[in-house]
Amino acid sequence: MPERNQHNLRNHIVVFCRALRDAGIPVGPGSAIDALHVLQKIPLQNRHQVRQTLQMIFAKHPEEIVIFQRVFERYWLVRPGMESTSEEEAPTPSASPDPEKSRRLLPQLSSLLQGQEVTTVRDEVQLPGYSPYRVLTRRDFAHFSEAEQAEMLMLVRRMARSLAVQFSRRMRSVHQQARFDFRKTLRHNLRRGGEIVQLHFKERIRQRLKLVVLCDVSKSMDLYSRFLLQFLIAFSTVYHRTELFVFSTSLVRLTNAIQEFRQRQDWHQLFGSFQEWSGGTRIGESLQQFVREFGPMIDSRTVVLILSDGWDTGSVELLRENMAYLYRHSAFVMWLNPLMGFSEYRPETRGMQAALPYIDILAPVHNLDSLRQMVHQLTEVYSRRVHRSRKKEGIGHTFGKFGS
Amino acid sequence: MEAEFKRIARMLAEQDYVADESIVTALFLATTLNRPLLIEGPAGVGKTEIAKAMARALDTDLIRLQCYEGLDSTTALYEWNYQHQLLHIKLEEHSTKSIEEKEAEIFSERFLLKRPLLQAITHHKPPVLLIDELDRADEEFESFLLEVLSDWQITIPEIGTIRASHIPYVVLTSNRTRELSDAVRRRCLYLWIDYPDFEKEVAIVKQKVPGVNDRLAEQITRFMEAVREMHLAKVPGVAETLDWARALVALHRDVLDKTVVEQTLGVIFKDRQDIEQVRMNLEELLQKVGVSSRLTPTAFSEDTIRKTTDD
Repeated sequence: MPERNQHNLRNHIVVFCRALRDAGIPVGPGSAIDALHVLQKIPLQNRHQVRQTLQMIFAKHPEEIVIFQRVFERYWLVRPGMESTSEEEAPTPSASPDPEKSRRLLPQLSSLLQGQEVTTVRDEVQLPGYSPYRVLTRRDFAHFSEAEQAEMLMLVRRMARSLAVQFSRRMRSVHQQARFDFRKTLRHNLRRGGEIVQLHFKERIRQRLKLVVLCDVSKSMDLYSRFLLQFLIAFSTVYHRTELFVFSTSLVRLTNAIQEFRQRQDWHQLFGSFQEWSGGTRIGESLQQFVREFGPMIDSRTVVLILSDGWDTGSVELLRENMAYLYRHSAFVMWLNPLMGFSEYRPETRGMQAALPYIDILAPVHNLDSLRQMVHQLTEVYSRRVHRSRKKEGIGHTFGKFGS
Repeated sequence: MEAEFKRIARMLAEQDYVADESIVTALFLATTLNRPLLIEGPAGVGKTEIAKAMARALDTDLIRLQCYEGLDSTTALYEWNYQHQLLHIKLEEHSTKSIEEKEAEIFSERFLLKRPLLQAITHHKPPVLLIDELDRADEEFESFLLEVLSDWQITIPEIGTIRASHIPYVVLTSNRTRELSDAVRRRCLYLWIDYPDFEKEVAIVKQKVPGVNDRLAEQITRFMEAVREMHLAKVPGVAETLDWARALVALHRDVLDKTVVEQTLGVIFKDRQDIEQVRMNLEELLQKVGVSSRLTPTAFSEDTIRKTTDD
């Protein structure tokens, strides 16, 4: 009997792995071998245990666990004769060695996998790169239907992650290894009569850029801020020198909250929590609150990103004052304005006018392309290809620098 | 196999570790397949504790590598004790040994400072190697680790290649401040731990805090459950539950009431805004837990009174 059971078990694992792969979990042959190895050692009647075991072997990510559980349920539901006896509950159908039956399993399984529920899973997991994606990257966020928005958010998150990986790699290539400090070594060892006992190294301090993001979540910005925040949250999972703040009439720090939410995998809660207070905008007051409470956070290796359309109901004087502070203390100030996506837009609101002298780059954020450009800009700032001084040539130059 | 499962469960129980089935399964798989176990979950749910319990249960040593930003391979593998080597050369200056001999001496194991990874490889019996908070280390370190975890050998140019005599049991933990690479994930078994459910947490409290009565343990746990539902900056973990329970026992309390909760909020919450938020909603929270906030001092049980007068 073991011979036949063995064979059957192997078939099941192979088919099951295929089902998992179709659902988007990249299962390697190594895991399949592990699974086979272990399944010979545990009682297959205990479905719960089988499931837990396979889950630990196949699903390697919280998101994958959800998919795994769905596929697992499906797989056992289709299994013919599963409900009949407890004996048959095992994936080694000792009572049904009939090859016909196990062959029937395949088409059934695949038809199920084409079914509504599982296909949506498959869509989520597919990597961007097919043609609709290219079209989507150029479209304004405001022009998406609800369904497209969900898809976009997924794309945004994926793109943010891969961009962040590239970004942090580039940060590192500039970083050098510690160098031997000849002078210091000699000086310190002279004390011991010139015998070189202690070596000293010049350590190059890691000076990566810190990103401080201030995002306007007032009503007029609702749609754009949602995309940018998704982008930045995903970005910060890889590049964790990122501090996020949101403001409308007052300012809230998100960095800690995001950490929490990421661990709990609950995105809706996070967005629900500040959607309620999206009302008017008081940029000046919010910036002042930031400077007062978190001012020391800004240093010469900090890039300040402000996302707002500049429609301000607060004090213009406060806005100017605090923008000046940010400009003086930071390495770079980038203002992202979704309205820049319209070619006829000119930053003529009072708020924008007051802030303009203290902005290094004014850029659009209305589609995926512009988000990518933004990261590109950050890399340029880091490698010091973009300098402050260049700004003096006139702010006008930076307008539409990377276009819609 | 069933026996093996029970054995692991029993051993964990002996170590005062309240394990649910998934943890037992994970340990069973990790030991059977000899694969690294990657544990993820919110802070304070006992990820590191698993490795410790595992080491005790397997009656072996725990070697810990704490990750941090900037951790590099030398800190994880080995370093030469340079000062010691120099002194040795000085002492041997007038000996008649040949240069080759001297060299061999200087670069012998005597002068090798073993760091956690090398320690784990050369240990006399398979230890538990805990690589804690891998998400804090850089990506380069992750790839370096991959190499070690797959080959189980380390090459030291002056000595040669050191092969592992026993393959350690590896436990990696991550708080998900950064996504680990897929390569690491694929190589590991994956265990996700969430905050424990009510029964499990009560069991943990009772196990770890001697002198806590059933009612208090349940109240504490229910309160923590309610608190975790709130939107807090730092959600308290099991560690905080235990600290709080210990604090209450030390204060000779055997029921919760509003005053004592207010006095001890600092034990649970480590963020000013959180404390304020909880304080504002305390009434509501306590109602959820089933503690009346208008408790009269007669609520002291005879037990408490006896204890206090004993002191």
